[in-house]
Amino acid sequence: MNRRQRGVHARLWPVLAVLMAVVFAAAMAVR
Amino acid sequence: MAGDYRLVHWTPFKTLTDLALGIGVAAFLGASVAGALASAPPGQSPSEIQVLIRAFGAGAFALLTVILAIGPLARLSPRFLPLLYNRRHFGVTCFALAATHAGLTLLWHQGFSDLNPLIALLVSNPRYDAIQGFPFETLGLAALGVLFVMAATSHDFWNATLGPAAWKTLHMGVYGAYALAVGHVMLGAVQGDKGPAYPVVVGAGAALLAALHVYAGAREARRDRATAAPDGEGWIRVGPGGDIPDARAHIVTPPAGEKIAVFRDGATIFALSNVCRHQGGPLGEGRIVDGCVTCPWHGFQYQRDGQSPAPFKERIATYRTRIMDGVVYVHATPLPPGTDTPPSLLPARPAP
Repeated sequence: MNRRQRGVHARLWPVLAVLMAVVFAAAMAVR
Repeated sequence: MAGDYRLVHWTPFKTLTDLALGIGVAAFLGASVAGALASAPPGQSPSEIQVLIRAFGAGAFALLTVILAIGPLARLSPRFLPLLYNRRHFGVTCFALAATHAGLTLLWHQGFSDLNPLIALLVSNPRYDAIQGFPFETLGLAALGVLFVMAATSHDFWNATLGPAAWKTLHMGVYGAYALAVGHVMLGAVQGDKGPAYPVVVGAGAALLAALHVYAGAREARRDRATAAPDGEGWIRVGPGGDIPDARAHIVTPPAGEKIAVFRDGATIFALSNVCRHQGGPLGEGRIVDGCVTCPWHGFQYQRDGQSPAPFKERIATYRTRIMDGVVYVHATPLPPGTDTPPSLLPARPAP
């Protein structure tokens, strides 16, 4: 993977992981 | 590889992969339907259409998870590279499963409304300000929209028409689609089914995907930090020519700019940009096939002068090389794409 693509992935995935974790926790809390 | 329309070149491997994909999807759907019917409480029989809605939805989500795992797995181990060749077929199949899930849902839940089923779906539940009872269908519809755009532009015609950078940016929308799908399942199916299976499978899949991407990126970042500093004249030491495996490359990371792939083809040494024009694949992880550097991602090819063989038109940067005392050096400054620069020749080994 070239540097530009790696940089985009490196910034994107931690944000996505946090977002999905928040949705997961909220959904489990109201279940 | 150029902007002209071409038929897909089928290979035995491609056919085999598509066959395995078809069998896998059919087996998953069959097992889902059988499992739902077998696990129904005694005396109750779930409606066939609801069972199918769940099966197609679960199939689309599971396949999307597999698709998104292929990229980081291929970055971690070349054994997964062949799957990259067929990832688009997986993606189009995923869209077909998701579209079937959505179509059946619309028919079943909104088919009897006076409104258009799609409009009825969007306006029937306005509780966007609450987690409980959130209109999760909207999240699924948004994810389906992204998958549709990706499936519709999956052919290389669109890659050539939009340009590799725009095409890649567009197709990175799949990550957003996955996050939307997680929300769709967690606020929808997981709320209706109180068993542990759904949250465990969805949570484990999403956590595994995120971990794979973060780990693959961190490993590459660690490698890239080992930059090779050029000397005062801009030459970077690559190493002894004999250390580069025949028909393969050593990848050099200059302090600035993209990486450089230094190839050995017999006694000939030459250097190209490490970035494929198609989708940014790492050319230095590929090998020389029929005299051409071949990208490990999708098989795009380049000659030693950085140009794709006719009739293709892609061009990448080339670099000057030199050999001193058997040690290969590459100049850090890229030459304009497609510039033919003389290769370096390794000295002949003395006869044994």
